[in-house]
Amino acid sequence: MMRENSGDEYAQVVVDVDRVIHEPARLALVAHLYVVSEADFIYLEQRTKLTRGNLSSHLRKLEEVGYIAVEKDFVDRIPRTVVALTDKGRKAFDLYRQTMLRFLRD
Amino acid sequence: MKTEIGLARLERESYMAYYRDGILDLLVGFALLGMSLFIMIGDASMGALLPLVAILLHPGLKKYVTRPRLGYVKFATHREERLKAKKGQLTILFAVTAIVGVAVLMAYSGNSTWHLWIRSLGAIPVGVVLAASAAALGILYNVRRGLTYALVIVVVFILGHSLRVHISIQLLILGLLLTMIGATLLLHFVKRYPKLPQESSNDA
Repeated sequence: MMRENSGDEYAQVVVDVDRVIHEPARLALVAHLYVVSEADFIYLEQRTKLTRGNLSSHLRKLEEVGYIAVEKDFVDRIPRTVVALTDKGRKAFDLYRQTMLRFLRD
Repeated sequence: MKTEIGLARLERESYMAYYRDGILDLLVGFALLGMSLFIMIGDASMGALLPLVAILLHPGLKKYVTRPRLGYVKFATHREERLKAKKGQLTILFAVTAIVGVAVLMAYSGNSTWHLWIRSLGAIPVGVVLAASAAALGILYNVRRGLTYALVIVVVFILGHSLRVHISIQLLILGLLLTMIGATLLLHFVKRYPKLPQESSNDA
């Protein structure tokens, strides 16, 4: 009985994992944004080594669920996209970390 | 816990990337080489202006070399706050270093026991002031190289004094060392972070 219960719980943890963050490219993006206040598109492109198209689509996905806030401005007449993790995104990442730690702990 | 270590490391790496461009090392290296050259041709006062030129050039070079390659990032509040707190302490340290520096320079002229003792140390007090500045920069920006440079400066000046090497040669050695390290760091930086095409309004 005990084994079945813990097995169910184990499966539930996997089911409950935040799939938006769980995708490797988005996980890298969220982790990079988690440790800074804000960063621009070029910074994220360099640090995550994602292609521009991939980066755009993953950022759009994260923006759709409200995990990041995107602001566009111009610096020396060059367009700049500044991205920051929202409170919702920060909480989601904290929860994701806790979930994965529970799931992967020895 | 490993995740936290991973994130802390990620944050530190992101921060350090900005200081591994070698620009400051190169500028200080060139300033030291220039100072050495001016001392050799007998115009030390002109050489004293070179660190100022280096300080003035630094933000511009960061803007044209580092920023387009690494992009823009604002670090987490705790690091910014720590930096702000340290800046206060280090302003005091810099002021003390500057006063000690001036006192050391003044001590080279005069005939009291104190003046004679300072003169007996040769260029070591100058090295100590340079080392203190390097250490202060290292602590301020949390860049360990600054502390290593401080140690190297002290060693070069003590060895230079023991071997009776002229101060211009000591500055030349340090200048060459810093220029080489700076150039190596810059090459690695440019290779690791190639200049990307400008953002277009369609991105993101």
